[in-house]
Amino acid sequence: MDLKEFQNTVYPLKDKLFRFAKRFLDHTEEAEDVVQEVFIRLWNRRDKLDEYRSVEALAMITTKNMCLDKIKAKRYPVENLENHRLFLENIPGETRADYSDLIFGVKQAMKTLPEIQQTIIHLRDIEGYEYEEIAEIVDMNENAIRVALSRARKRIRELLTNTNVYEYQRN
Amino acid sequence: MYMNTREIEVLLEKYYEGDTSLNEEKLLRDFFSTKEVPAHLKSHQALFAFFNEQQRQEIGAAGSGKKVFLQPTEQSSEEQVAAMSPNRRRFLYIAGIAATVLLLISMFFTLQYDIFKYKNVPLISGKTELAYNQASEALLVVSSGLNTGLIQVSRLKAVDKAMKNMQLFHKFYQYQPIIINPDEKQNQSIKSK
Repeated sequence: MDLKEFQNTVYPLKDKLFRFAKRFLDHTEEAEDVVQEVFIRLWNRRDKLDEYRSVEALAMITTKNMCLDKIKAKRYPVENLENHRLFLENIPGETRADYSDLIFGVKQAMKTLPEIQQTIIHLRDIEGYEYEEIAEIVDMNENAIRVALSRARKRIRELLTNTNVYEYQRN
Repeated sequence: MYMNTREIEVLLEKYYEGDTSLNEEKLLRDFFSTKEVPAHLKSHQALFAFFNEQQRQEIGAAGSGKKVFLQPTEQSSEEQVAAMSPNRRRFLYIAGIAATVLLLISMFFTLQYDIFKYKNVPLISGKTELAYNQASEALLVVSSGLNTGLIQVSRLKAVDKAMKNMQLFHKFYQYQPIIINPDEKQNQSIKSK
C-alpha cells in the first residue's frame, strides 16, 4: 500500500477510530493519542496491509486492543465533570433544552452495560456496521451479536424508562 | 419520507429485538430527529438523538488544540513517524532526565570518595625510614619482575646470530656488479667506500 492508497483508505477512518476509542476510554485526548498510534502502526505495516481482507476491520481491532491495553494498565486520567460540560455544549441548541439531560442519561446508561454490549451497540447504532463486519471486529458469530445487541438496546430502554418514571414522580 | 405511527411502532419492536436492517435503523433515527414525534413515543427519542449526536463527533473537534499526526507525507520515514508516537516521546524525555541525574549523582559520589580517601593520608610522611623501606621494596619488586622478563628476551640472541649470517648475503649483493661487469670507475668507487 503506497502513500496515496493509505491516504484514501486509512485516513478517512480517523473519526470512526476516534469515536470507537472514546467509547472505551471516555477521554478525548487519550482517544486522540490512541488514533495516532493506530495510524503509526498501520503506516509502519503499510507493505502488509494489502494482505488483509478489510483494512478497516484491522484498524478497528487495533484501536480496540490498544484501548483495552490502556484500560488494563490504568494509565489514563479520568475525564468526568469536564466531560459532561463538553458533552452538553456539543448538542445543537434546539435539542439541548429538551433532551440534553435525557441524552446524557443515555450516555450514562450505555456506561453501565457490559463492555462487549457497549462495543456492539456502538458499532451498529453509531457507526452503522453490518453484522458481518461487527463479527470480524469483535470476533463473535452473528447470532451472538444480535442477541447482545438486543439485550443492550432493551437494557438502555429499561434504564431510561426508570429515569423517566423517577423524573415524573419528582415533578 | 413520511411514515405513520403504526409503522414506526412495528419498526421499534423489531429494533429492540435486533431484527432491523441498517436502512430501517436509519429511518428510525430520521423519524426521531423530527419535531413531530407522538407523545407516547417520546421516551425513545433520547436514544436516537444520542446516536445522532455521537455520529457527529470528530477527532480534534473538541478544541484540545493538540496536533495529531494522521496523514503521512512523502517525507515520513519510519523513524520520524516512530518518533512522533506520544508514549515513546514521553519515555525518551523521562529517560533522558533520569540518565542525567544518575550520571551527576554517580560523579558526585566518585569525586567525594576520592577526596575523602586522600584527605586522611598526609602527602609527606614524617617517617622517612619507613618511606625509604617502602620505596626500595617497591623497586625490588619491579626489578625482579624485570629480570624474569630478561630471560625471555635472551632468546632473541638466536635471531641476532641469524642476522649476522644474513649480512654475508648483503656483501654478496654488494660485490655482484663488480664480478659481472668489472668496470674501473665502479671498482674504484666501491673500493673507496
